[in-house]
Amino acid sequence: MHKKIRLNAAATAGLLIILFFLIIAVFAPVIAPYDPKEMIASYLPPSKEHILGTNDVGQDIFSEMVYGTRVSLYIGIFAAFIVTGVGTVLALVSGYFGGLADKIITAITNIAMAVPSLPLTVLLIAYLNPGKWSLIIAISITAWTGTARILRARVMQLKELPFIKIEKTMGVHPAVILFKHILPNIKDIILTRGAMAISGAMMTEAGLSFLGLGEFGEKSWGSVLHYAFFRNSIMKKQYWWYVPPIVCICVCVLGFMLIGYYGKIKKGGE
Amino acid sequence: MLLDVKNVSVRFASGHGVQAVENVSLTVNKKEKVCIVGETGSGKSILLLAILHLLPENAIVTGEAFFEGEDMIRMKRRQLDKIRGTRISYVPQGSGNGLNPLLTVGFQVAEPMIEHQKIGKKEAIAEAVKLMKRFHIGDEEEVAAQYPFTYSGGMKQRAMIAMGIIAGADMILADEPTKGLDEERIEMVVDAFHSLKDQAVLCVTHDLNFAREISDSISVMYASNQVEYASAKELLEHPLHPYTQDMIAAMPENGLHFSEGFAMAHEDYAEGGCKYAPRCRFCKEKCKETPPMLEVEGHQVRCWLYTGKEGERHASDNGKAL
Amino acid sequence: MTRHIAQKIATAFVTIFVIITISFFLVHIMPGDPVIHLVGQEEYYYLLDNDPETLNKLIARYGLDDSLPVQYGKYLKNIVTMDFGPSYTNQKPVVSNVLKACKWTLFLSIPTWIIGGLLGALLGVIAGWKPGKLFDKIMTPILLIVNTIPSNCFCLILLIFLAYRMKLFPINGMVSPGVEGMARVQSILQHMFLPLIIMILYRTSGDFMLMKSAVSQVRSEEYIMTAESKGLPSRKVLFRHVMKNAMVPYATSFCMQFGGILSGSMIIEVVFGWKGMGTILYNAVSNRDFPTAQFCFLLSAALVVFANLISDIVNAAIDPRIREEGIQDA
Repeated sequence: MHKKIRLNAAATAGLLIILFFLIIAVFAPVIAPYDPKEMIASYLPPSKEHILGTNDVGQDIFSEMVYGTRVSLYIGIFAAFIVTGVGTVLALVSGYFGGLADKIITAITNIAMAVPSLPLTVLLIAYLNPGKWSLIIAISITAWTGTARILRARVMQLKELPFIKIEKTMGVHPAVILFKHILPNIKDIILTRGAMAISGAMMTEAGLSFLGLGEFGEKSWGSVLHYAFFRNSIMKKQYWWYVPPIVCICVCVLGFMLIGYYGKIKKGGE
Repeated sequence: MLLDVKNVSVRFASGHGVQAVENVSLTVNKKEKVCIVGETGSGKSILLLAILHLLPENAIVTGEAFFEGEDMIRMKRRQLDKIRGTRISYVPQGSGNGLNPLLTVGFQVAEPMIEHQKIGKKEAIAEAVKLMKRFHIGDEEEVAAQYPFTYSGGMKQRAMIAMGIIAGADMILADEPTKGLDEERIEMVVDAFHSLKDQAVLCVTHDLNFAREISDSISVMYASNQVEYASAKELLEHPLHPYTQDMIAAMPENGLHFSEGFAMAHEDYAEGGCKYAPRCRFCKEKCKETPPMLEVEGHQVRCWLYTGKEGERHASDNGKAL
Repeated sequence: MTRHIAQKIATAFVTIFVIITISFFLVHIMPGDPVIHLVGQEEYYYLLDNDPETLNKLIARYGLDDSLPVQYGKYLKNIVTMDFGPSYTNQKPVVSNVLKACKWTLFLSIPTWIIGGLLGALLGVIAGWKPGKLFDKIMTPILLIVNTIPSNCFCLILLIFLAYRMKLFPINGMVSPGVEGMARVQSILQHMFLPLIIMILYRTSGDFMLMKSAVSQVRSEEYIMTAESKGLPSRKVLFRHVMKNAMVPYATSFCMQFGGILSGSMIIEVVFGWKGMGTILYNAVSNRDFPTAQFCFLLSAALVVFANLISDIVNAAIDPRIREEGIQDA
């Protein structure tokens, strides 16, 4: 278990993609030539001053995209953090302790799986005050079930291992066993599930923002695409407006997916 | 000679390339019962699967295994399908997952017969029920209509022995038939093997007592090498190889005298040399080289202790240095 | 078997009840006056300051002045009688509004469910049976990438190339106005082609991954080795032994996907102006038409629960371990 995850070409590519976007997100104020909210002049085509032109209200699209990286990644990563965290904690409790806790958690998981996720997310967004964290909560609310199920099965297998059983009978505190033995053994699954959760959350966010249900105080890539689409940029052939968000969303989601999928395959093969 | 295994080696191509079986040779005559004894990971089960072409694609098998004169290692799938199950058959571990969980045991026992003798499903299952009764799996027909999950390990094992002989195979290759079974069930499996009067058996086991019960000859494997091969009586009463001696001394009825140390993981072996050297009482400088297979007092033994002794003779082409 | 299914049916009812209850309290545990959600924040504060009378009328109209248990009771009664009142936007009954839209969604989702499910399973079996071979090496990355493209982006990409540039398909809507008879059918088919292709591609790629991993997992089981050792030809090993076992997870998922046939296509519907269930829900949420939104939500939840129940029954039919002992995850 102390072996490093050896990355193959696909997973490395994913890692590079994510690194690229992370750098943009961190250095957004340095990279972006304008304040994304500053209104200059509407519908300018690409030029030296505005490499991706300006939008309907005259904001620099390139700057919007650069700052959008922050918003999209922020929502994706934090939603995935909640999803994976909740899934892991529930799996540890129900898988390791079993009994009543397991029954209750399994029942909750089953109900959460029976809730259609997109309608609930949309409904929640309507009820919650708009903002990044409302989106994050709405996205995470049903997405943790898969992780919880997979990890629970794994934890149940692990706790039957002889050395863990021995420690259990010796009266070692459950917290010690969980942190020293169980968690290190499931950390690879947690990491790959986490990467998948980020790509999933970013996809949902892109969809919601595109529909105009997202966060508009600060625009994410999905919100940029929303305005591009609903202001008819496709009809007007303003490809500099609608192409960048599509490319960024697709590439970034793919990056996380590559890590989640191929990182896992490599591990399984060994 | 029914089965003649000559210098079979198996290597797995993945990772560092694990050598699982090295130059193993043995023969099984008609109606002879041979056991391969060794610890978990010694490569004995892999040898069995290699003979039957059941290893995954990343396994590289070299050597020859003649079954009734035809080399199974080089056989094509179509030819294999004609003999597997009807002339030479495999009996998986009863405690494992060797039966399809979604099909009835009766059908699975009858399946080789349906496939090879082209008889109807009903008659074949009736035949399976007869055989299953013979092995005391159950007296009612319903037992055959049940699914594997209702069976105990011992019942599964006996059902799979029935499955092995139903289509008239002369040769059974069995994998760890006593693993995971208690004394009483082992007894029943022993009885089942004893009743295989007409079949030859090549059986892999870690259980020396079981081997003593059923076999005519015993081959001992340690860390992918065959270290000793002799008739069962000879081997158990006058073991030559230090590993065989230690193994027999460690049996409960002999007072559980364990030799020190552990069998190592595959990747820890040095290239060449006797694999047992690190645990061996007689280990000497010479043991850094791979010992040849020698023929001593009717045994075949791979150990430097017996070189230069009276009666020593290099066993037929088995002793090639690796 | 009967006991097992009876238990599953009971669970389904409990689940539905819990979802209904949660969806009621969702409105009431949210911070602030529930009326805020009805009229929107700005309108609410405007009315509160300038026209409290109208606000009170609204509260009375939606029964928000009753005590919580009374409201809950009324809410349950409305669900049992399928009376969700009029839609806030067009004043027609919510139920008939939504059901009409469902029909249009089913035009897209039923073919998707069947074609995508079968195609994905077929390709997945081929790739999983010979993993690492050419077919697997080509199909897996392609379908993996399809699976990673967010649906809104995928829709736009196809729209831009096939509809705007090449003008092969209509851009928006479900049928051209003013056509009748066969021409109308043809027009509908033309309009549904792009959204349908996208939905089928997604479904195919999802089922491909599932079936591929199920087949390659079963393939490495010991009993497949046993089957090979009996001298069965590959074809029989695949169909009799591998497929039968790989069908268990696939059938489960196939049945469960039925639960998503109303709620799974929201973004695609909105992009293509397909006036189905997804669009209705989207409009309802945008216009704060809560009765409509709530009914859409409950209807799709009921369908999901129903589909899960079916998948449990199908599972029990395939797997004797579940059928006879109720063992799960065996």
